[in-house]
Amino acid sequence: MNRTSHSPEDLDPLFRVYFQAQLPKAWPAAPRISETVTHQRASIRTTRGSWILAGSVAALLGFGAVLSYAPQNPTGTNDSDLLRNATANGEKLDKHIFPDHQPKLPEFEP
Amino acid sequence: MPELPVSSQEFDATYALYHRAVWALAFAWRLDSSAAMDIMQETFLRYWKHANSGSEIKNPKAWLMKVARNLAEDDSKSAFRRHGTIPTELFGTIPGSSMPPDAELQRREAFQAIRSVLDELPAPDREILTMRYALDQDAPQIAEYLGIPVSAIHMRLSRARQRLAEKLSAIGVTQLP
Repeated sequence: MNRTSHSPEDLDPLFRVYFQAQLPKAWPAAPRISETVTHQRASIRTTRGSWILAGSVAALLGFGAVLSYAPQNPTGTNDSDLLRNATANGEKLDKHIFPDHQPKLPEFEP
Repeated sequence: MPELPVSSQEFDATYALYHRAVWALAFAWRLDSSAAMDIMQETFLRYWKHANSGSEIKNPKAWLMKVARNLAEDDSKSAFRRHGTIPTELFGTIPGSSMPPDAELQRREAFQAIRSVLDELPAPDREILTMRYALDQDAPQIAEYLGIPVSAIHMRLSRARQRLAEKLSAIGVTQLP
């Protein structure tokens, strides 16, 4: 074998022989699933997909409906009113939290 | 039975037009003829299923090339995990041929050297080389298949040939027996 540098043009025949030797000797016919099977599969897939989609939408709507009709305050305490009526010094809040507590009045010394 | 979106005749026509280019693209990635054949068949099988599942394929050529490239890329990664860089055809014995055994052996060694040099080139360059030399496509035809400008094909082809020639000259592979 010759070890001097060769130009690509010199080696073109070598490249061509290599690549063409890799080509398949015979090309197979076009692959194909039978048309009937394709149709059946497509039909089954479409039907199943439709049912899954319908079920998902129904579940989503039902969940939304349950959320919108559920009581706003299931515990019965009306904390929102408490906060709305709260005063800056916390008097009403104290009464709500400690209903029996009597505030200690400051003692005046004459 | 309703008519399929892509009839058998249309599918056969598409296959006849593009199967060699799809094989060449897969070969460029895998550097293995039989693996490229498998990828080509799988690509057309997917085309058939996809086209008849109700999805429209506006540009069959671009679709086929893209799917083939993705399959070949995935396959070359998994093949590397399985076998390293040794092509599967080298695992078996040397098949019989009409050439004398020593010439056949020299030819195999030369092919192996070319393959190892090709393996060092970027896959997009190998795509161009395969289409050029295996399919005898000219630059405008390759540009159309790969969807890149003709000027880019000329540039990349020239660079790839130069690198191949340099590397093969360096290891003394310049002709076949």
